[in-house]
Amino acid sequence: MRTWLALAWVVVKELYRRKDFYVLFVLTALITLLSGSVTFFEDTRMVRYLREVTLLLIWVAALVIAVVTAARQIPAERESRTIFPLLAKPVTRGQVVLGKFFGVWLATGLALVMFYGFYLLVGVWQAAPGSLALGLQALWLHWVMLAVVIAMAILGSLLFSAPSVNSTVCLVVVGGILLVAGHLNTLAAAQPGWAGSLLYGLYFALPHLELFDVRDLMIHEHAPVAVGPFLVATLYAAVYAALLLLVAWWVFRRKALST
Amino acid sequence: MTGRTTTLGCAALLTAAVGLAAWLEPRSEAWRGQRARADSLLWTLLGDGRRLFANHFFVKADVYLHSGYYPSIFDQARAAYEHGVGEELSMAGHDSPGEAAHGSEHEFRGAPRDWIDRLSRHFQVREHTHLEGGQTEAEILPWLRLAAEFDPHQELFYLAAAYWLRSRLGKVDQAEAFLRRGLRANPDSDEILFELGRLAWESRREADRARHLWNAAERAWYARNGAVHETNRVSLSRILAHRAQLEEQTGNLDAAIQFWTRVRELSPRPEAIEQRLATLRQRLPVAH
Repeated sequence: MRTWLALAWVVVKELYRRKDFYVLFVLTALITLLSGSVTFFEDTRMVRYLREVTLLLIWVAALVIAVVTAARQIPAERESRTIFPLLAKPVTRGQVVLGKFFGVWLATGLALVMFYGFYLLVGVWQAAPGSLALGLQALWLHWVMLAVVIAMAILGSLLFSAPSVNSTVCLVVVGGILLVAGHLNTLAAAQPGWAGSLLYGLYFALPHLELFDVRDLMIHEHAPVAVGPFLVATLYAAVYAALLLLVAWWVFRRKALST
Repeated sequence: MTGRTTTLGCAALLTAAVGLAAWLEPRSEAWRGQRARADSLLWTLLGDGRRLFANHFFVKADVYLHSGYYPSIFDQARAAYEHGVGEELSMAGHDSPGEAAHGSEHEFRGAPRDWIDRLSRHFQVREHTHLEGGQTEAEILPWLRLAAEFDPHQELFYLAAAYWLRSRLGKVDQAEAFLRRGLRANPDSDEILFELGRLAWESRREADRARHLWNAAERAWYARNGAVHETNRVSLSRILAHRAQLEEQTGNLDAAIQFWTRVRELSPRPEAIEQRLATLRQRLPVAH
């Protein structure tokens, strides 16, 4: 446990040394503040559009941070050849995968806390902070969703040749899942024969990342999610993340590391 | 190559470039199509694609009005598939997908198909509420404003925003300013002129201004439609009926009778108008 925790801590330190997070955070803050300073029809009580803009930016920024950071972890170790002294120590490949995963997950968690803290500040500035309970739920659900995305990107980093390819593929897949996956059952029902079965298969196989998106509840001030479904969703994400990490470990174990 | 040759070469290339630019510029107007006449940066960048964004923002305003409880394009397609084409927008006898979402959630989502579907509904908006009271209706206005920004020639955006501003939020000046902005973009719009007339009469009680505006609306209507048909008579009838009411309320009974007579010719229920005309004719000798 201490081994992968040490590995994870290195990744966390790497994130706050790099500029990615700061650039995205400043960009998000700048666009939000600009949007918030606009008045429509001389009315200053409109807050929902600002919530929508801020949350969209937070989602995009968090996805980019998670995917890009996860995608470069193992390739960077291989490129700089630090993977060899690392594996020469009593560190297994499984611990490397787990350490990298937890490092990126913790780092994105810290970034998310900053982003959601900013969202809360914007709410206070607009005199409409919204439900704190729902805000905390949204933060947690967002974070566990990113666990699946990070596990996917780590697996991708062992399959694709370059981090840029992996990042692009991951962002396209995650975007596709967020937009369409929840409706595949509807599409499947409308398709006769094997096409319908194929869509249904895909519907059950894909991780439903859109489950974790409670932005509409936050924007329109609805009640928080009930505890039961909230826990089930957390378990659902944990199962998918574990599955993807297991496959990543299996691929990494079989991978020859050329000198 | 000497420095002089280089300088002369650069000067020659620069002259050729400027000459070519001057020759190409007027011709490029034809290549760029409508974008050459673009009057805003949005049009230059997006071309006709901005209309897609405008419609998206208009739908967004409707989503906000229903507090996020709104069928997606997939839900609408499912309704069309299960109930037949055209049914998706009138599932509960309403005019818009948002209105069709009234009542229980099953109205547009149907029963959950599987456990993932059932679970996902806990994370979606399940309660159908409207923005009502406390001037919360203002939340839809940014989207209407954006929609009009992206497609200034869509009269509906101005009319919808003006309705909410004037009738629900009591912002008459803002409604008028926005309608005037719409009129500048659509100078021949009978709908916007009619709405400006309503604003002048119903909110400001300025009868003369309302008369002028409704006269202009009527002229614009004839300029746009030419003759009265089964499909276009409602909008003309509405202009004339409002004008008739104005004349009635300001005591110009002769003019009121004249306008109600014209409304009767357009109305699908002329007997109701006839009763009104009879009452007015009874009042006429008293007024004289």
